Amino acid sequence: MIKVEHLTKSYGPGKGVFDLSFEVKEGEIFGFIGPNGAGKTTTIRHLLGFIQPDSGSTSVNDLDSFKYASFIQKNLGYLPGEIAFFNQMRGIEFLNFLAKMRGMKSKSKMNDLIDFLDLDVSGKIKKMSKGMKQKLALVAAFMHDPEILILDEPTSGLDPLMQVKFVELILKEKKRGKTILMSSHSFEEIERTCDRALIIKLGKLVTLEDIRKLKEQRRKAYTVTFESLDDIEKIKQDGFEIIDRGTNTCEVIVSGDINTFFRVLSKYNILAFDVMNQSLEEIFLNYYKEDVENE
Amino acid sequence: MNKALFVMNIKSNRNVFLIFLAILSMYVSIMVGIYDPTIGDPFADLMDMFPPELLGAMNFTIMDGELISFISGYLYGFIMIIFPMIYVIIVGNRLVAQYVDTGSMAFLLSTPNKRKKIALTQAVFLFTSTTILLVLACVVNLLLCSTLYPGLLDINKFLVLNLGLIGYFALISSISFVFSCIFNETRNSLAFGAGIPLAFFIINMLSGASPDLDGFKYFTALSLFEPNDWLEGGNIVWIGSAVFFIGAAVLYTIGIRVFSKKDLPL
Repeated sequence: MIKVEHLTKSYGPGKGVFDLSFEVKEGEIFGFIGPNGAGKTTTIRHLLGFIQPDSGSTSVNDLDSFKYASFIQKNLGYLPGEIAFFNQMRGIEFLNFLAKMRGMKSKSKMNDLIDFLDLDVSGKIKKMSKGMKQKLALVAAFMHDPEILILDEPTSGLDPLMQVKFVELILKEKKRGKTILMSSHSFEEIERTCDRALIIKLGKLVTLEDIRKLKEQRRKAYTVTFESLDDIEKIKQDGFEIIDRGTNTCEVIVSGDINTFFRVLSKYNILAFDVMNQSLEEIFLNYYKEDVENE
Repeated sequence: MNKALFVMNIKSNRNVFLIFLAILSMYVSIMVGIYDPTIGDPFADLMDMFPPELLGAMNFTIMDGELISFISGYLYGFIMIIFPMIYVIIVGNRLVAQYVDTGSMAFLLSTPNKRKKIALTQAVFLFTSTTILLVLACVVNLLLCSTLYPGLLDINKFLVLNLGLIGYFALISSISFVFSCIFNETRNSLAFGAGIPLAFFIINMLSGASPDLDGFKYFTALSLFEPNDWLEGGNIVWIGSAVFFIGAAVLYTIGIRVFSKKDLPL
């Protein structure tokens, strides 16, 4: 459905996208992860036909995404990463305006989405909170019931409750056979929704894998409080990566099978045990470690 | 042309349009009201007190005591140039560059409409709204003259004069439009889209201020619209109209083409 082949667009060294290739299959939810400035939005801009590649190509439904942009848009929903509305409009005016621009006949899906996201569309867009604006943009992206959805950071600005609703919405659309490409900062979100994910850094592909495999590779960190400092010295011998804080509490990083870790832990007397929420940055560090070691 | 977008333009530019229409109507009413058919130019004595360089710069050159000369001298050399110009600059910049700069163009382009169609809609809106603004000011003028001084206004000459004005603004609006399409940031779009029309205006003032600076007239399109020349009729009407309307068509076309092909930071 969506194809990116050897895409290169340079805005200077490390800025842009370099020889990036991937394909999103029909009915698949595809995650696109990377830190700010990694090239996610640049890639998406190509797919929407806003910019042209220096070399390589991007296509949607086998149609060149720049040349046939307006044709592709008939069946595509897009959520911009940085949302700028026509501020003087009211929410409902904006949606009706886009519906007219799209030549949309039925507004039932639009109204369903407004209800589902619990959005008040009567107010001026200028006065809306960031979360409300994000919801409004989500309605605009989904309301014409497109086959393909391209969502740039769809949950930014949404509160946790709405993030859950968003995941629900995505899974519902997936069941209906929609193809979705979404970029995200949040590994959790990608984990919950996507089939495959691509990690990108400095415009280059770092890894492209099944979410399940990615999860296995993902290192988990735990805070463990041992009875004595000696135990920390001992557990270091067992081949775990330990971040020693000089106290009897340390952080243990586990890659791969968690059971091995528990078997080892059972040999010690543990005072406290806590799961650390690994931030995306730490996950990146894991993927990027090879790069750092090479450099 | 996209109807929904055109209607949206009307809504979002309605206020600025009405403000400029009010300003123009006000000036037209004041000037036409001041005219005195018995003595011709009531300002003549007043104007004698000003240095001729200043009057030349303001284009206040009155040929005779006729109503048409009075109107063209006091309105079409200054007031009817500067206020429509500001309208064109504001709206021309807003229609394309501002939407690209703020990012809201992304929503327009994520609908199944070609860029060409979007740009064409904006071009048609800028040209028609500017023309309608001038036509309405012209109508106000005509109505006032025919009420206050029935039969005194040379209507043919007045219409030729307004053709020149509309032509000049077709060109000015196309200049604003082409830079609005070329640049992704409003500050650059304004630097040229406002800078060039303003430069035309200022250079024209300089060239009028002193015979020594007369050569400047070759650097401003406004020298093709000297109101007194247009009243006399003749070749300037044809040459001026041709340059204005052909120039406008070319620049509007370039703007639409550039916008259709360029990379957009959306």
